[in-house]
Amino acid sequence: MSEEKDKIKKEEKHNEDNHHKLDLRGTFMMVMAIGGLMLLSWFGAFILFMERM
Amino acid sequence: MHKYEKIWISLGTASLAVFLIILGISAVHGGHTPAASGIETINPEHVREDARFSEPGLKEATDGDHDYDLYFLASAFMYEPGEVEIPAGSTVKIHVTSPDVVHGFQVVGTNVNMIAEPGLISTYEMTFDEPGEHLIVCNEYCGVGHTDMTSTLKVVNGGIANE
Repeated sequence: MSEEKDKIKKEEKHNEDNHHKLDLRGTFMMVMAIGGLMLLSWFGAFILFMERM
Repeated sequence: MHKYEKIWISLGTASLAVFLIILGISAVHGGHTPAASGIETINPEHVREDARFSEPGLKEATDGDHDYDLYFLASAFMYEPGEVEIPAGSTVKIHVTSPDVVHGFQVVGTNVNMIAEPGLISTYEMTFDEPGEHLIVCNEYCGVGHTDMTSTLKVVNGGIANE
């Protein structure tokens, strides 16, 4: 019983370590790029609104 | 959680909060008139008996800090007046209502973009500095004649020449 528990725990720890080792640089860059695009378009619409005041 | 995940999740949550705050502020300020803001009402069946809308158009303001009141009647499928001239540099308070169905009132190229609802008088204050011509269009689908529903707003140098 306890052996099985240990096994599960070990596996969880292993998964956690693997997760940290993931190379997410590309994902990070794309997330930031989309965020930047959203911010840029928001300010674009806002500038248009202010110019028409 | 991965280090990068923490960064984008916090940035995403923060921007959501910022945008919700902006949305909340702009919902009650900046010329928006939600139904609970004390928007003026009018009986849609007797709009034309109302002194302001029996002869809609540009009228010199009697109160407030704007120069002119501009009354517009949006009905299926036309605007009254069909053309209006505004002296450049004047501040105009636009009042729009509808005797029939819901219409739109957008002055192209400006921030004036309202819904004309039967029973309610939508208003917006705007200073027209640049001389020129603006198209007014209906942007709420109102029926078969919707696409032909237009008017013209001319910002002119000099005096008032209406009707």
